Amino acid sequence: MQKDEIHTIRFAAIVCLVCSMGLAGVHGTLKGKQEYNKRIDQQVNVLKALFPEFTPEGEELSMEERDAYFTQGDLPKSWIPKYFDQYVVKEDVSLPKGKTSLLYKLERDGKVLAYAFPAEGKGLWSTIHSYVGLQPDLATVRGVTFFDHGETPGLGGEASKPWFQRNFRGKKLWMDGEPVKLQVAKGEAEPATETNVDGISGATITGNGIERFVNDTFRAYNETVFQELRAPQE
Amino acid sequence: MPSLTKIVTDPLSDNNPITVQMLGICSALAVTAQLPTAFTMSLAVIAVLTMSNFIISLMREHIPPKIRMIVEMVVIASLVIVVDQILKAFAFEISKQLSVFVGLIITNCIVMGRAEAFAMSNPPKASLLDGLGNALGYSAVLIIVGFSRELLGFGTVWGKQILPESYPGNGLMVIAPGAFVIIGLLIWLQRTITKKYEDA
Repeated sequence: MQKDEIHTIRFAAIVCLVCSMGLAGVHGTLKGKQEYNKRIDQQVNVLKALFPEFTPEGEELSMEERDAYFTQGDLPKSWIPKYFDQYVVKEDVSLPKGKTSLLYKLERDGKVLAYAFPAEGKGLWSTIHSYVGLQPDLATVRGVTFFDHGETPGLGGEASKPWFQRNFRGKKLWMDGEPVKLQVAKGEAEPATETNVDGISGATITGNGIERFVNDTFRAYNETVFQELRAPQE
Repeated sequence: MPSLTKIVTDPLSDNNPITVQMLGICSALAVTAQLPTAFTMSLAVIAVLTMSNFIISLMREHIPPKIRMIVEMVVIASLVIVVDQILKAFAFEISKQLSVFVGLIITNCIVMGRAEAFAMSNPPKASLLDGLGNALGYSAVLIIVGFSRELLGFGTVWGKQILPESYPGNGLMVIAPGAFVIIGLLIWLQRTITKKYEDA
């Protein structure tokens, strides 16, 4: 009996030791590659919102070409970090109620070509993460991206597809000196205006969630960060 | 003991883990909306089940009976974490789509089931083949369900448009209940062909 128990404890100890060492080894080996993947993924999402019309070679890209680049993975992964470091400036900003967040700027030759801010909120099943890119006027949407969500594939999940994200381009969050509410329609927006976006039919709650957090986050940024940025020009 | 070939081929149909043993249904519903995720999940389960059966069989004579299931769990969990880590490093996009479901292979009844039912009482070579056979049987069902759901749900196969663009897509196939329907039909079809029925 005594012998049995010693055997049990010894066996358990050996199994635990071997497994934990094995896992530590695997994690240590793959950690670099995993972090690289995560960083690229995040940078691609910021770039989608900032909507770069140019490649590092300075070529102009059409919207379709750019979509293909960023969604099909045709874009050589290796140059994304380089591109990011060269053109994107990340700033810490403070929001109302003592919150802090980030603001990304796409800069070229000292000129700001676009701003992007992170936004997130609830959809139907999950928290949807996104970046919202604005033109230098801080009023017009330049590009958006929705990612890392658990919405129904084919319905709310379409939010991460280019066709839906493209619907946001050129829409207004700010008109005549005040914020306007961007609306995500149920299906096709009728009538099409500068403040309503064609939604996904059958994914009303996902659409409402996106509408809510995009507007709310814009307003929060607007109260502090964007007011300051607008001030010098006025 | 049945022949080694039979150990591999049996779980493909006659003793299929999903359609006959009714194990692993949960993940078969969750990851089969599209083919690529179903395929990657299949590879992950093949790797885990084959290895876990082999390792547990190697240790079977030394595992203290009192902590038998805990040891099996530790082995399975370690293998799953390794697979998850590898996916995160080399197939990042797909690992994001599979999200928690790779981790949930740990709780997939097939893996534990085969360890208990086969690997604990059979030699390593036969256990490895049993694991492989069952994983392939599971994969076959996942691929069939994934193929049907993607085709009917989106009109595509592996992301390529097959049905005409005007095909509106079937919303039921896109969500998990669609997999229930497909698996049900599959079981019906299989039993009609093999003439093997459960006793009422």
